[in-house]
Amino acid sequence: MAKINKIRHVLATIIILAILYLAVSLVLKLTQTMPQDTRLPVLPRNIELSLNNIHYSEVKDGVKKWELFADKGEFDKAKNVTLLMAVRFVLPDTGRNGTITLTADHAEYQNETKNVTLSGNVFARSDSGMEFTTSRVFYDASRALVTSQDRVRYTDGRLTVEGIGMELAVRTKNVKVLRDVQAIVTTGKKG
Amino acid sequence: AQPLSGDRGGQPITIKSNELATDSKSRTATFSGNVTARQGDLTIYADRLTVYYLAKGGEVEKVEASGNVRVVQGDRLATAREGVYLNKEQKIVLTGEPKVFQGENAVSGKVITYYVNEQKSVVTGGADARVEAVIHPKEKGKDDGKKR
Repeated sequence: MAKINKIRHVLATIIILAILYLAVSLVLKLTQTMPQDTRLPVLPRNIELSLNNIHYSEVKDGVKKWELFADKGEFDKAKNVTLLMAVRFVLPDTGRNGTITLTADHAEYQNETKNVTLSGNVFARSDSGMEFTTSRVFYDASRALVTSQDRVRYTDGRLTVEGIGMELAVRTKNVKVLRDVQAIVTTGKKG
Repeated sequence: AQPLSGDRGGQPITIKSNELATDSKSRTATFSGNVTARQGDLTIYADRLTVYYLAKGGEVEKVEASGNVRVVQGDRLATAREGVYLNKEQKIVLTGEPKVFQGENAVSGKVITYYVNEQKSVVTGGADARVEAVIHPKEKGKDDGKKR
């Protein structure tokens, strides 16, 4: 009788092991066959939504105020901001100096105020040849003003300026450099 | 008089100041606060300096300086309340108690036109500011002295 019990135990153990083996290999097979890219990365806790190839634009009274393109963006619901990467920010022509295009590594778009902060290798260029570089700019939507508190290098073909702090009025394309101005004025024809 | 140096008018102007504001409508760039502008051997100091561009081609038409204007070039110094630097003509028109000093000599009047490329200034008087000049004759050389 004892011997039969022992055989039963062994058989039960073998069956359980076999089932475990089948289960494990099944799980492994499933995870391998599933293509890597479809497995969505786990989002950070504060991020509600993550999108690729983003395009925002602001239109007021039928006039496009700006466009914002980004390779990637993450929406932070708590702060109500969208964090963007590899950004292109376009301020359309208002009749003077043409369109201005700013590029930067990052941007933060405040959904409520529609203000935009661009940071990391900020480079701006307009159709009329105006250019500036800095590390961080803030676009104030209500005042249509691009400002920076950092060191700036600006040129417009006649004037090359370095200084600290800048204000660019989007409508008029007038520029202020706020401190420590060093400029070179080309006296001859515009470069 | 022979021009002092080559084509200064084509040289860039280097400017330092506290602040800068451009205005694309009036085609100006206004530098304010402790302004220093240098072009070749000519330096202009002022509280405020505005560069005017021509509409066509964007060349510098003129540079207006105002407030404690000082122009320094070699041993020549000019002071005034305002000054307009005409780049093409290479001259500076000084108004507001203008004076030009060269060594110990000095002239003053109502308006002084300072020729940048020539050792020349033209002084004009007015009802309230006659032309004045203080010329220090050069002292006779030492050897002359011995002859006596």
